[in-house]
Amino acid sequence: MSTHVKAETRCPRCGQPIPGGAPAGLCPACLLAQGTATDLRDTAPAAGFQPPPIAELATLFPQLEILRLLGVGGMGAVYQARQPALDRFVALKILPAGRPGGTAFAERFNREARALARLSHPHIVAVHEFGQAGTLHYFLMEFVDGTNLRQLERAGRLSPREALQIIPQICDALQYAHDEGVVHRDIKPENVLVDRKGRVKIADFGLAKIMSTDPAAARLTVEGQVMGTPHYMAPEQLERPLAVDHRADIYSLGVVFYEMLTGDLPLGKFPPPSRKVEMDVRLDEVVLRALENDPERRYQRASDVREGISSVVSTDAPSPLPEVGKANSPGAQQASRRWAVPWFSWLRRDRRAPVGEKRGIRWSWVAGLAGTTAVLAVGVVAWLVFQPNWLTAELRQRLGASPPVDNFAEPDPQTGTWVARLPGGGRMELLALSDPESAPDGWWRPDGAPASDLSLEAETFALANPSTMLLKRFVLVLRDLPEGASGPQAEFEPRAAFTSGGRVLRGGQQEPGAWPFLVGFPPSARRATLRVGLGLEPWRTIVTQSATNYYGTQHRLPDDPPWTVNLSHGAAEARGEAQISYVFGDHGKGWAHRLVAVDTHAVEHVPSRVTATPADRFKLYTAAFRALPLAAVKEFRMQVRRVHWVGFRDVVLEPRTPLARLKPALFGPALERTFEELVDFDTGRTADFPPGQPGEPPFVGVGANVLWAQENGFDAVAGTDELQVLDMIGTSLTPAEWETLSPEALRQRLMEQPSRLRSLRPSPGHDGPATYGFRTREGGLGMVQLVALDPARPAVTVRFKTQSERERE
Amino acid sequence: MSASESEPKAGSEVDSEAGPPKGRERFVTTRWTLVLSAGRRSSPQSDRALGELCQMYWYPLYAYVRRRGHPKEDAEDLTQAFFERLLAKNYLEGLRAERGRFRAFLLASLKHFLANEWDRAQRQKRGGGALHLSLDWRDAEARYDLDPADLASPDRLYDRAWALALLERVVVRLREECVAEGKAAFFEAVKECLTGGEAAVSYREAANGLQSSEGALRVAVHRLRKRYRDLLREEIAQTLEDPAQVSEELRSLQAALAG
Repeated sequence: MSTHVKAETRCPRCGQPIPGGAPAGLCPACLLAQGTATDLRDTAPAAGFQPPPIAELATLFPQLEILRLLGVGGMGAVYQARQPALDRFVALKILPAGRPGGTAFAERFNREARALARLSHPHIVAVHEFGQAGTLHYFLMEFVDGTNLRQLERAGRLSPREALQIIPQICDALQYAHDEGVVHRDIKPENVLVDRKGRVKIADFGLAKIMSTDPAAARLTVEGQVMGTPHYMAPEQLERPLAVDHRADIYSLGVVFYEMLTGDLPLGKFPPPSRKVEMDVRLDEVVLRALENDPERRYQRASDVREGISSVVSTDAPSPLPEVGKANSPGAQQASRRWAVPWFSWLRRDRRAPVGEKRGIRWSWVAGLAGTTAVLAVGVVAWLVFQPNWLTAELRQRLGASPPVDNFAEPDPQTGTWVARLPGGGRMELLALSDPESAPDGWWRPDGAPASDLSLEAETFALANPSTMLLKRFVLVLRDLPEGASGPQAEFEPRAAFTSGGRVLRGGQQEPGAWPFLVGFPPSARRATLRVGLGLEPWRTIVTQSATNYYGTQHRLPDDPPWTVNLSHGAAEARGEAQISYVFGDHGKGWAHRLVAVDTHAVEHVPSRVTATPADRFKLYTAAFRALPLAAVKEFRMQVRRVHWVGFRDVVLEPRTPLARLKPALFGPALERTFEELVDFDTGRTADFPPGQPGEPPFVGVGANVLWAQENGFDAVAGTDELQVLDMIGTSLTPAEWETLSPEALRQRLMEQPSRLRSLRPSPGHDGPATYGFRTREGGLGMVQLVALDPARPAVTVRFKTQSERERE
Repeated sequence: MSASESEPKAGSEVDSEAGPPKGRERFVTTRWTLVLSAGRRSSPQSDRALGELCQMYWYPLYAYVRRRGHPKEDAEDLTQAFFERLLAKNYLEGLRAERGRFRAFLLASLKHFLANEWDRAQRQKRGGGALHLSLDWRDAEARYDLDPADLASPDRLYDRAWALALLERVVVRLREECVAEGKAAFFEAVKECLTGGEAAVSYREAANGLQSSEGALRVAVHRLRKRYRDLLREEIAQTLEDPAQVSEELRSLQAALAG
């Protein structure tokens, strides 16, 4: 048996002596305590919600005998009670008092009860009464003596025959409710009760949105906490939660059906049920049709599902098909289609790209720019990546005349864009324009023609004081530029403040080489000219100066402009950075310049930071080189290169006809998840690692599984006292910002201060849960709060919400 | 798994205090139910299941007999004889009240055996030919010496020894799993974490020693703990008729250790 430890050893946790015979020398009491956390799957309690004690309820409900607590969940507690006057058992559901969401939550509660109270059907749990007692909202319901479908499934796989008895009853209940204008919206095994006689009763129509009520009712769902269970939700329910109809229930029913037959959820590439269990292959068609992604292709009525099942059940099963022929059955064909395009592929659009290609465009541009701040053109940093920058009208005024344009863009009759050719084979294309609130199909071409076929989404940096300006978005595409090309600069006429850089999606995919602009024109502007300058040739050194003494060399050519160049002799060092000041006076916008430091290995370093003090004709610059001590610098070089300017004339700032616009972006409903291993913020799914074979991938060694999770699209893994984040951009927020920050403001925050989140830890203060903003690898924008870490279970509870699809105006 | 799907439903029986719903038996396959369902008609499976349970939990019985005052040699004989009789299925009938838990059942059977059949069993044993379990008596006495001598009753010692035997089994299984996955060093480095003591292990130092990253180690420890908990509950469930009563049994065992 095990090592025997001397009785004097004490447990570092509880301080009690560790007795002899303790397993592996560990304190047995503490070991056992690890197992006492209640089973997560059965009784995960709502964070912070304590069900009222029975004695307290007895005073509030004198007309009832409260017998026992049946269960506690996120939405309240359910008790078994008896109504002595009527001599019947009832279920009493109590809403947590003081829930976040306040009035809206109470309103939803009342609506839930009202929706239920309107329904009277043998397969729907009846509501007898509802209201408020003291501070508690409650309702009295029919008591169902039995269990739910989840518990039946957990106890053992239900046979297909039993599934075929249960599903038609659900169909009846749903068809009745749908006829009454009530959509359940949260059909899942937990909501399907089965009494001791095997009768089905659907519970919790509380999430139902009553079709006939006003839009204010729909808003309640947005503010709600946990609305729907993603695994059972129809794709359109995730995409447009406010616009679902009864067909969403049919999809959820399909998921429940699939799960009952196979024991698994139809996730990702799922085979038809008959591939997994022995059953009538004709049922595949019924299940798969209920699970159609497109509501139009789904069964249109719950009763049609029932009919589909009866037509299979009432006729003889076909003789089993040989394996080869099986693929030709209708169900199998549908499945293989599905296999190719899982319904949530819209969420996964970046998933197919290998890890290294993510945001490849943006990063290649960063590299191409050779350090953002090094790109100086005529004394103004015109293009920045990840940092907002705009030029005030005053500053622009000082810039003087427009730059010399080499050539102007011509309309391309094939694409409808305007294209300018560049020396060296590259080209520049003005793709489209939009208003900041334009819909993806609400963009227009530079001549004002609608570009509804584009499906364009742009994310740009914010502009200061936008209210006084006419805001427009431009998308410029740079193609086939020579290697080393950099320094794109832009100027607008009339003069405009603008930001550039960000991200452009075309049909959901990142558009290669695309640059978005947010431009603030004077309010009277109707047309504009855009000039864009690019450095295409290699940098050429015009002045060299030794880092340590006065020696310097000039390398000017006869045709060069008479630049004034004066490098300070007193190069300095601060915090390990070499620094040097210089004066540069230029003549015209046809040239760009930069100052580089050459180290003792003849490697050129561009400055990590350049500050400029503007003056009338000359500017004083200071360049600093991070992680490059002065001792390592051999010489400094002033370099120049030509800027090739391209122009887009008479760009129309309004579309010819009004185009589709979007309402402001909103966050979707907050989801709360308690999980033990993995979570995916994009879909809300939680999962465990699959069992790994010892010594085989993915679980060889300690930590290899983390890699596996990342490759499978999960965003975070539970650790002992933290939530580890897998490849997300994020930023720390205050708990108050959970309520106040808009998606647009969060997007700006992430663009301005992006950092790679490593782990989420509980907030040390007491002002609320640790709160973070994030952007997942798939592009989902959202916020997450770390609600609880339970090391004993061990489990993590998070609350999160992601930006929902913007609605059209 | 999906943790948040536990919203209580109107009238559904979330708790299992009222006993398992009808028809549940056909789903459960704990060792103890295998033994129970076999009843008089023993099968190779049910014999094996009972044998496994006895191998795991014989020591608490031995400790109980010793605490009842039997000397070492008698206690060995007695425990052995009891198991022989038990394996011959003589006690599976008639103990309805204790059937739900193997722990309670075994103790009740032993008490019955001590009270009524010890003499007869001894005579039979001398006759020879009975089933025989291979038990490590030497280890038993060493363990008995280590048990606190001031425990009040043999019953409490029995429960306490039971809890330790259970934990022993779970930790050994967990260690074996780690060894099979080539993570023996990992297990030894972080096993203190199983008691929930965060301060017990410096992740940084442990990660250095294992040539892993601190973050990866934290995740691995989290998983180890979860696996431990699953194994613990699984092992307890193996001794129960209704696996849903695991939490209750856990509380009983905790109380036993606290005593």
